[in-house]
Amino acid sequence: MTAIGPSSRELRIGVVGAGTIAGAHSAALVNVPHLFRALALRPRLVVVADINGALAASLAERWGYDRVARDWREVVEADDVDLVLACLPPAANKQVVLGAAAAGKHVVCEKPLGVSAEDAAELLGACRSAGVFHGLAAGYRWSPAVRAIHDLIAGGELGEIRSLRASFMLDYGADPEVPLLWRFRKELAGGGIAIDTGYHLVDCARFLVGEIATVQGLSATYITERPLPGADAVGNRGDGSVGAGARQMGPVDVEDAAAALVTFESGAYGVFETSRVAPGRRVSLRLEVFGSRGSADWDLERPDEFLVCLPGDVGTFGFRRVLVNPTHPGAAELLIAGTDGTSIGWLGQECAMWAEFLTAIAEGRPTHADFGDGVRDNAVIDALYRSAASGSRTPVVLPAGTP
Amino acid sequence: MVDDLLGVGILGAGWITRAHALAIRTLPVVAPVGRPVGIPILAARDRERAQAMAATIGADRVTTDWREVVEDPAVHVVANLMGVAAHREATEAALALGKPVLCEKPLGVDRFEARSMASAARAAGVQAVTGFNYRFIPAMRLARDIALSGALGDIVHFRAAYLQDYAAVPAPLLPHNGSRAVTDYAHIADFLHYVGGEAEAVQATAAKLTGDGPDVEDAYVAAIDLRGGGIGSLEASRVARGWKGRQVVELDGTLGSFWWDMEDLNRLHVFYAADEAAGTGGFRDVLVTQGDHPYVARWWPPGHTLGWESTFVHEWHDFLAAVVAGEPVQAHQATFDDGERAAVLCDAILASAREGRRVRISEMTPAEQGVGPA
Repeated sequence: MTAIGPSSRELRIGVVGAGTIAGAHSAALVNVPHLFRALALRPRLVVVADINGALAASLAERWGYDRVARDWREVVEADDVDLVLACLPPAANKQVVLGAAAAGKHVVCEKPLGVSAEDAAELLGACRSAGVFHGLAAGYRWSPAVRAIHDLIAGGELGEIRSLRASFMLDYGADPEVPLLWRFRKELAGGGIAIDTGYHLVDCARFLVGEIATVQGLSATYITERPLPGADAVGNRGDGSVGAGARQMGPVDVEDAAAALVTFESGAYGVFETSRVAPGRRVSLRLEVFGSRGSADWDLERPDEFLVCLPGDVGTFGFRRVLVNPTHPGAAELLIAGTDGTSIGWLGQECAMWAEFLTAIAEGRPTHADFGDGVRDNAVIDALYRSAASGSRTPVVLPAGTP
Repeated sequence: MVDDLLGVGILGAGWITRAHALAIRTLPVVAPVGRPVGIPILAARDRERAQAMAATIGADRVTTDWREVVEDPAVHVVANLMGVAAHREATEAALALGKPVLCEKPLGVDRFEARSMASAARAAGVQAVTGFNYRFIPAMRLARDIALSGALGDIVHFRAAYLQDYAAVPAPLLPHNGSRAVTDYAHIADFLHYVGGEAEAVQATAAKLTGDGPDVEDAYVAAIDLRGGGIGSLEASRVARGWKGRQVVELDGTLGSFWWDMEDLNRLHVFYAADEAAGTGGFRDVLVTQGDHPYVARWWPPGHTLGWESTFVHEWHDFLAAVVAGEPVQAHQATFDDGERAAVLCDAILASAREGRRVRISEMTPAEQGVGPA
């Protein structure tokens, strides 16, 4: 393991990519030491790099980075960076992660880890060889409600899990005027909505129910060309980037929506659906699990509660609406008013994730939600794409040598 | 066998008559009472109106005189569905003839009328029930059963609100005809007793909030001191914009709570504090459509929801089943004593609002007036 650096109480962070998700991570990193008071490591925001200099400067000014850079190499090679956080599109994250591992830096990579399982496996291998910490930023498994459901399942409260329904519906792509950003381009994103938000469903499903064995998938593209974006387009909707000069269109080569029927190694099955053309659904993630004794249900639009149905008293059998409370893992630190009924929200789950990563690094141990999970998440998405192309049920195949 | 027909004579031809008649017609299909039930005669002051309603609901004959219904030998049971001002005289006449009566709520125009009617019922020794139909919503029956079982502990809070907006619109579909909001919404005053609570004192405010019409309140709010130390509230309005039938009943006890809303009437939300030990405390969302829930086995398989009209079927079944059996009605059905109890609470609310002071229930039931509500 790499030494942490001159300031043993600090973990110095360098970020590559200054887009939306980098801002979310920055907010979590700023907040996490104030919420998780027992952390052995305190993050320090050292440098952020982006080819869009104004974006990097804005992020640095907002969240308090010491400096900005234009080139990712300046982050990966910096002497005063202990951990590199890769927040570029997946195709571009690869060189950052490989470079960081080669330089002996710890790495956290935004999901999806790779554009394919092979790609992801290469990153895992590099980090394992270098002996650095690797964490996959797939934040939803860190939501205290999702962790509470995980613990109910692990404790046998729901019995044997028989099925899972997972959907992630969004509408950021519903408007055909949204420009041809990286998320609509296979060479940068590795795919469409399946690898973007379907990845979260796979990660949560694996967290809750276990490994996925087979996939029957389908995908659909409704908007086949989009306006080319301006140079400064940012965000999911390319804010402010369309309309300048002559309008040019470019082809969309990835799917807008995808669905899959999967089998788990346990014998359970799962139903997945995701779309970015679902009008009215901004960021609607829902997870339902059904076991032999009970069921649980979580909806990101109500992130701080979950529904659970357990074998109950005669006459009052029904779903309990459970508010995330201090008895749930990771929740006590996030409920800053000390009691349930006070919301945690999206930032809270990101803080919970970073608290675990910082603790794991301080203790010199791996975390769950590492690049091994990324390889497996990617492998399921690969199978979905293969199945959608072939029209048949497809096994999930891990790259050779996957631990 | 036609001789076996149990005749229900109906007084009144307003829209509530259709609700009751629909229930009576549904009884043999859903909840037989042991004898066929018919509607031999219906009375309304306006003959054309009476005839139109009789044709709608299948009443055999009509009259414009309520006495003809009460005295008709084919009438064994009287349903008094007229306006509240016409409740007492006809009801007491029927009771004097030994005929069981179902009288719509509120029982009388005030506690004195209600007390008179309750006395008449006791003297007659026949079944006499007040039309608090919401008691018969399966979810509220279940709530009562749970509360009275002690599973929720002692009552700490009781809250009930009945909010509508029908009088807020310029041309109301349902004119209030000068009825008082406090007594018109007596359902919520009744619910307090139904789930095991008793009022000790009230502090209330009431207001007329519509521009014209009779000088009666359209809304009120009352704070209630409960016997045993808890506190509660009652609120009702017919000018609360957006709410069509929001009747919320909530009870918080030392061991648990429930809440219910008529706008989602098949659901009861129940909380048991004991659930919290396992990290899964939370309100249970109970879809009250299972065979082990009150009344439901008579209807459909689980998950097939019931509507507002089902309350009248349950109300009529339980009433007529008691009549056929020659037994008192069961404890969950509102007797005239319950109608009187609700009238006492409503009068206390009105007195408090009028006089601007806390009014004790005992002031409303002076000992010299005879036997008050239990």
